[in-house]
This record gives sequence, structure tokens and C-alpha cells, in this order.
Amino acid sequence: MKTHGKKILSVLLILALLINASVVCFADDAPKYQTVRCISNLCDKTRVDLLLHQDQLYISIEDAAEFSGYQWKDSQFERSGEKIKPITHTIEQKEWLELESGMEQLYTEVVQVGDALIFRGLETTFKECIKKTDAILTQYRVDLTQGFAGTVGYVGAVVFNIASQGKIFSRISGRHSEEQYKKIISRMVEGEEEVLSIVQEGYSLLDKLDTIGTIEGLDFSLNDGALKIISNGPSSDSAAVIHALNKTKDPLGTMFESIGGSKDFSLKGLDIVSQLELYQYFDSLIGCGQLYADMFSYTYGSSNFKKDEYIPKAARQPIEALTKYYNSTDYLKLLAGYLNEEGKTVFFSSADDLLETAVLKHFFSSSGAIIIPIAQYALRKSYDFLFDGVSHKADYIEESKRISELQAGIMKLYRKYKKDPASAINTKYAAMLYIRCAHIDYKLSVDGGMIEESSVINKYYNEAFNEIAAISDRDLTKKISNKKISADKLPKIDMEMEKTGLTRFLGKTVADVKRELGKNCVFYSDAGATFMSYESGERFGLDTQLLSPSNAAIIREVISFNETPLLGALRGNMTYGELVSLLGKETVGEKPEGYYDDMYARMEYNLTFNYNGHKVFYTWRDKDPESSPSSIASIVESNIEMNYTRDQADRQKLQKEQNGEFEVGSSITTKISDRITLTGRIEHVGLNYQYFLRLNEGISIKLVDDLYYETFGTLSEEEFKCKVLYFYDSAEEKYDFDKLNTNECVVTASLWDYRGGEDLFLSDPVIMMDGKEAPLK
Amino acid sequence: MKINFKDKKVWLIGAAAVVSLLLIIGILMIPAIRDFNNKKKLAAIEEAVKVSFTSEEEPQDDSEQTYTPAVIEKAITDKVSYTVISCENDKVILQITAPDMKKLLLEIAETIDSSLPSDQAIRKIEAEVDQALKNGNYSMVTTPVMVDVQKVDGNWEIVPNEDFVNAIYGNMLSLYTESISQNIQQGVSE
Repeated sequence: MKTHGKKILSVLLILALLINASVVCFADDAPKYQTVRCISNLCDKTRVDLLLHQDQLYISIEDAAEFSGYQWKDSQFERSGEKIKPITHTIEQKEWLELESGMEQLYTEVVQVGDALIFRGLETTFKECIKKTDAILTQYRVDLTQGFAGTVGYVGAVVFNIASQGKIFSRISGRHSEEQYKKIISRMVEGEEEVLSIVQEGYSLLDKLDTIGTIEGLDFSLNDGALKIISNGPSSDSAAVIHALNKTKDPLGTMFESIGGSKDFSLKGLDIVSQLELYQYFDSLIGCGQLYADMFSYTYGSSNFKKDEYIPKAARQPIEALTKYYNSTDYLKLLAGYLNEEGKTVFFSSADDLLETAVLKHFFSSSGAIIIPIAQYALRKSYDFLFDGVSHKADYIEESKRISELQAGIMKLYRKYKKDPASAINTKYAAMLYIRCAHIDYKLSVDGGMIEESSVINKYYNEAFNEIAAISDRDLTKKISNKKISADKLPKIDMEMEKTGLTRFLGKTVADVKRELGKNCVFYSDAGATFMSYESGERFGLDTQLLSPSNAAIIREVISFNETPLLGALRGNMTYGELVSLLGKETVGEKPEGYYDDMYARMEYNLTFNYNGHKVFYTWRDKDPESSPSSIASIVESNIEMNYTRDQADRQKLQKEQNGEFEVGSSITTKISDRITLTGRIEHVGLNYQYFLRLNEGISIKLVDDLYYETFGTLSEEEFKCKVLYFYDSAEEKYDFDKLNTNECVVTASLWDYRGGEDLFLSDPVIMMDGKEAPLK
Repeated sequence: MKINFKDKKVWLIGAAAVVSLLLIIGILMIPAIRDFNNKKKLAAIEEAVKVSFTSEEEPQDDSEQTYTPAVIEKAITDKVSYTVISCENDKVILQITAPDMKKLLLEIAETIDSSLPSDQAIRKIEAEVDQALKNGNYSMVTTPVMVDVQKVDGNWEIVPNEDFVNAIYGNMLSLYTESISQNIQQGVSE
């Protein structure tokens, strides 16, 4: 009996343990709601209610729709005709998506940054992109023979055909007449020194026969006027050459720079404008090679042509060498054939594709060396000089014909790409190229004297181009892979606490504050920011610099000097000890170390910590934080930029500004941590050792360092990209570009693409090159 | 009255009379000589003008259609005639008479079915232009143009300019300029 009793007791004990364990488990499994901070590029929500269930966070379908830009309709998500039916979960009689995988299915990135979730939905879907590009492309056809519409357009095409295919037109338009050549060559005499340097530059390229350079894994050499690139690694085959070349950022650029400092030959992956220029370069190369040969065979072959009279003596040998090379090599023909067939694909290719095509077209020798003819470089230089400024309608027709052919090819590719969402990114770039072709054609027609230049028309082309360029690559590639978000690491926001203290006004308007606290307030400015203050001690930082802000201005910071509560039990006058006992040392951090403030001649102690999704600041002035209450305390919304919440137009503008495309008269609002990329030209002005970053339309930024010392010394003019890391005006954060000449700003910039070499002299390393300090002298 | 040939006065008068006569004859001959030189220059310039836009070479016909743009071009330039109006130093004023291509092209284009695809419409216009030029269904237009001439190795040559080229093509090129301009404007305003 005793034993039985023990057994029964044991069983009961086990049962009790099991029941307890299951209760605990059930308690853990019970869904919990959790409010967290968030920002989104598609909506203004700053809080989202998630559901935590069995260690998985869920988002409601309504919120998922808002953050992704899709609409929830008939049990599926829909946007611009695209329908998605993700896996949903019904929990507590409501439909939910798993946070990470659900948003992934809606092409929306979700990541945790600091104390908040960032949602980045598609700003443009593939179908929306196509709708946009289709509408634009129909307006920008160059296609002279097919694109013209209407009576005048058709006859224009007929005239074009007659003029370009007829035998007489080019002759009577004076293009290849001997007189033309004589005039041109006469110009050579006038600019003897210049032409000599150009021709000799090309000649010297041919003259270099030794190994001239290496990059990792490759040797370059020039043989018989062709550039040879050979792998010096364990394998010398073509694949090794390609592999080594691909390791460089700009393989062709590297090669050409190594053989003669040519800076204008460049292929930079998907930099589409560079690729278009590259094609133009090749295209003109073929044309110029032929013209050059025609010109010289005509002039040299003519009994009336007196070499002694027209050609500077020192130029004769190089010219003859180049002409001989041109006549003897078949590389030009090879290159021409290659480009004619494959040139168009260059637009859409990376360096890999280009080089692989080169392999297919036998640009590689049997030893695996890649051979690239370079005499054309010299020919082109000579051609550019000789034909500079020579512009005829016949030239325009020729050029325009080439561009229209090119554009037709691009349209074919565009149509192919738009059928396949997988090539959405190519659709975008094909459309951009298409417009660029039309713009180039327009410029040619201006240069050719066909029509008057119009800033309005230029603007239309640029706007169309920018509209497509603004479509995010990320949206079109849709490569989204959300990582698991841990609920433990995501600070929960106590929504009840949010309603306490001055924090309840964060994100609200001046009107909201006035409604509750009354209209008896004053506005003042401090360090470029505007504050709203009440006699009773409540103070608010606004999102504007105007001293008479509108009622719509937003509260970004709440401040207390006294007992006025900020958030929960936090007040403006607390000791460090009180803060630690209230929130714990884990949240508050170590006691702050003071520093002596020279400006105000006092000790200052600053403490910053995150609490309930906010950034909290406490300051003690000439007081020991341990024993004395704080002098001031403030709370700002978050340490995360809220730029994502700007509306579509603002975001497009922001993107343009980030590309350095500021409109005259436009103003930008920046914070110290804003990063803006400006493209411009540095100019050194006068004897005052002042440097200006020249942007478009006469806009410039004066460059000074972060200690307000101006840069000094001499700096050669150089085009470059300047990444502004700190852009802050001490007087006002809002910058008016019209008034730049009268304001000073702090610009700390890093340069890349800087080729000025040793000419850069700076006082402090305010300008960095590729992350390294600029050379100082 | 007897003339005394021993008298020096007589000899002087006689010599003066002969010189005067020769001078008068010389002065009277100047216009004729100038006219002769001008005619020679004009003839040379007329030849130079002709050479500039005539082609003995027949356009190659490597397609089934007989109205290739090159054929049409030759049909136009074969019908061009011109008159040299004046010739001052190195400037010549010509009157060029050519088929009024601007008028012809616009008339034909007006008859083209607007529903045709653009490439077919263009081929059709080319065919109609070819037929009109062959059948004489066109009017002529005369355009005065000024061109520079220059002497190269003893021969006069004209220095063609846009007006000259346009006149030879019956103002066709100005139509092209208009169409380019219109196309761009349409693209922008759409």
C-alpha cells in the first residue's frame, strides 16, 4: 500500500509537471501582439503591429499591402494587372503573412535597422515600367526611313533615301572634293604644332615594341601596332586572359591607359552612357578610318597635290607610317566587321561579354593573347583634328542614318526584353539608349544646321531620359532575400507609454500642440533650427527653419528643463542615478564623462540612449550627473532618417539631387549625416585660394574644410565626382542654391576618377582620393 | 597746197594722227576683247556647273524594283538645265531649272493611303515619283542661286553651296529640313 501510494504520488507528480510544462508551452505559443517602429518608402506608417507566434513574426495582409504597394482584393494581392497569391495564415480569425517570406513574395525588402523595421517596396513594377517606357519611346524615334509619320515626314524619308543612296549628292555637296582636302590640310599647316603632337602621339604608339606594362596576371606589349595581352599566370589561354581582365574595374581603359595615357577609351560595365560613347567611338573609328584612308590616298595619289606645300615636314614620316600601317593591316577590317555585327550588343554587355565575343571573333591569337589594333586611335585623333568644325548636311545625313539604324536595333532588343520579366533591367537601359540616340540625332541636326537649337527640346529629351533612369534597378531585378528577423532583438514599443509626456507630440503638428497647450507660445532659432517654446517649460524642435512656421510644421524633438514629463517617468530634471534605477544600466549606459566647453567656459556631461524606440538625450552643465538633476533632456523621433516617407515627387527629386542634378533655384534640406553626390568641376578662383565646385547652370559651391579654413594652393581643372559626406551650413540647414555665392558651407568630399595626380594641394585632407588622403605638399 | 615732207611739223602731225588712230582703234576693241574673255570664262563655268552634277555612270540596278533612290536621283539631275546670268570676279549667278521636286513629292504624298505602314508608304511615294519623272508628269521650277567659282590648275570650278545643291534637287532638301524639324517638334509635343 505504501509502495502503491508512492507510485501514485510519483505519477501525480509527473502529471503535474507535464501539465505545468504544457501550460508554460501554451503560454509561449499564445500569439502576442508587438508594436514596433517602422519606416517605408511607399507609405507614411511609422508603427506596425506584428504578431509573434511560435517564434515567427507575422504581418497583417492590410499592412503588407500598404508596405508593398499592392492591393488586397479577392483573396490575392494585385498591382497594375499583376496578381500574387502568397501563402497566408489564419491566426485568431485574421489573415497574416509571415513577415520575411510574405513580404518577399510581394517583392518588398524588410530589414531591421537599429530600433526599427525598414520596408522597401517596389516603386515601379515591371509592367509599370513597360507602360512608362512604351509611352515615352513612341515619341523619340530617330528612324528616318520608318519612323516618320504624316505627309511631310514620309517625303522627308524619301529625300533622305535619295540623298544618302544617290551617287551624285555626296559629290555636289562637296564632301570629298580635292579642294576640301586641300583646305583641311592647309589647316594642318596653320596648327602645325598641334597636329604634330596628335600625329606623333599616334605614331609613338606604333613605335613602342617592347613590353610596356602589366596588370596582375597580364603582360601588355605592342607588336606591329597591335596591342597584345598575354596571361603571365600558370595558364596562358584566352580564359586566363579574360579572367585576369575581369578582375580590373575597367579592363579596356586600363589597357589603353597603359599604352599611352588615353583617357577617353573606356568600357565600364553597365555605365550605359559610357557604353554609348564607346559605340560612337567605334563607329566613328570605322568611318574615320575609311575617310582618313580616302583622304590620304586621294591627296597622296594626286599629281596636283604637293606634299611639301601642305604637310609639315616633321609630320610627314608619322603620317606615312600611319597610312602604311592602315593600308597593310587587316585589323581594321576585322574590327569593323566585328563591330558591325556585334556592336549593338556592346550596349547591353559587360566587359565579360565583350571579351567573350572577342574570343568568338578570333581577336585572340592561338597563344591566347588578345590582340587589339590601336593605330585607329591615332587615326581618330588625326581625324578629329582635321574635321573639327567641318559640318555639312551630308555629314548629318550620314550620321543620322547610322543612329537611326542603331536605334532600330535597340528597339528590336527592347521588344524582346519587354516580353520577359527576367530581362526587365535590360528594358530600362534599352529605353534609355533609345532616347539618347534621339537626343544625339537632334544635336546632330542642330550641328548640321538643319534646325535651331532649342533649350526646351533639350529639356524634353533630358526629362524623358531621367524619368526612365529614375526607375530603380533594384525594382527591376527584384533580387530580394529577406533575412529572419528576431522578435527578441526588435525593441517593442509600449504604445500606452507613447501617449504619455511630451513624446505624444512627436510627429504631430504645431497646430496639434497649440490645440492642447494653447496659443501662448514663442518661436526662436538656435543653431539653424527653429523651436517652439511655452513659458511653463515645454519646448519643441520643428522640422523647419522658418521663424514664423506654419501650423503644419512637424514636431521632431521634445525638450524639457524641469519636472515636465517627457516619456513615461522620464523628466527634464533627473540625476544619472535616477535614470539607472528607473531603466537599468543596460539601457542608460555608463555615467557620462564630462568635457570642458570652451565656448561657454563650463563642464558639460552628455548622455544618450535609446528608449521605447526613441533617441533620448540628457545634459548636465557644470553639475555632477550622479548627484545633480539634469539641465536639459530631449527626445527625438528616431535615429533613423525618415527620408523614405517622402512622397513620390520628392523621392524623384531626391534621386536627381543625389545624382548631382540640381535645378537652379531649388533648395534642399539636409542633415549633418546626409550624403549627397554632386558631379561637377573644381575650379580655383583668383588669388584668394578659393575653390568652387562648379555644377550646372552656373551653380557653384565654395569648398572649405570642416574647420572653416578654405582650401588653398593650385588645383588643375578636372572633371570628377565628388561625394559630399558632410554638407551643412552653420547658419541655416536649408540651402538655397541661388545664394551659394553668398554663403559658406562645409563640404568634406572624397574624389574618385580624379586624374590630376600631383597637382592637388590642400591644407587639411578635406578632399580624399579613393579613401586615402590627397597628396599634400 | 603742197605738202613739204621735209618739214618736221608735217612729220609730227602725221605721227600724232597715226597714234591717235591706233588709240581709237584700241579703245574701240576693248569691249570686244573683254566680251571674248568673258565668253570663254562663261563657257568654262557652264562646263564646270554641268560637270558638278552630271554622272555618266548608270546607277546599278541590283534589285527587282526599278525606282531605287539612286535611279530617281539620276532622273532628277538629268533634267536639270541652267543659265549663267552674270559672272563677277569669283561669284556667279545661275538660274537653275529643275523638276519641282518639292511640289511633286508633296502632291504624291497627299494621295498616299494614310493607313499604310510607314515603310510601305515611303516605297509607294518613291515608285510614284519614279513614274512621274518618267512620264513627264511634273512641273519645272527655276531658282536663282549665287555660287563661288575658283580657278584650279587653269580650270574654272564651282564651289557648291547648299542653295546650289537644293536648286539642283528642285528644292527637295528644304523639304527634308522641314520634315526633320516637324518630326522633332511632334515628338516633343506629343
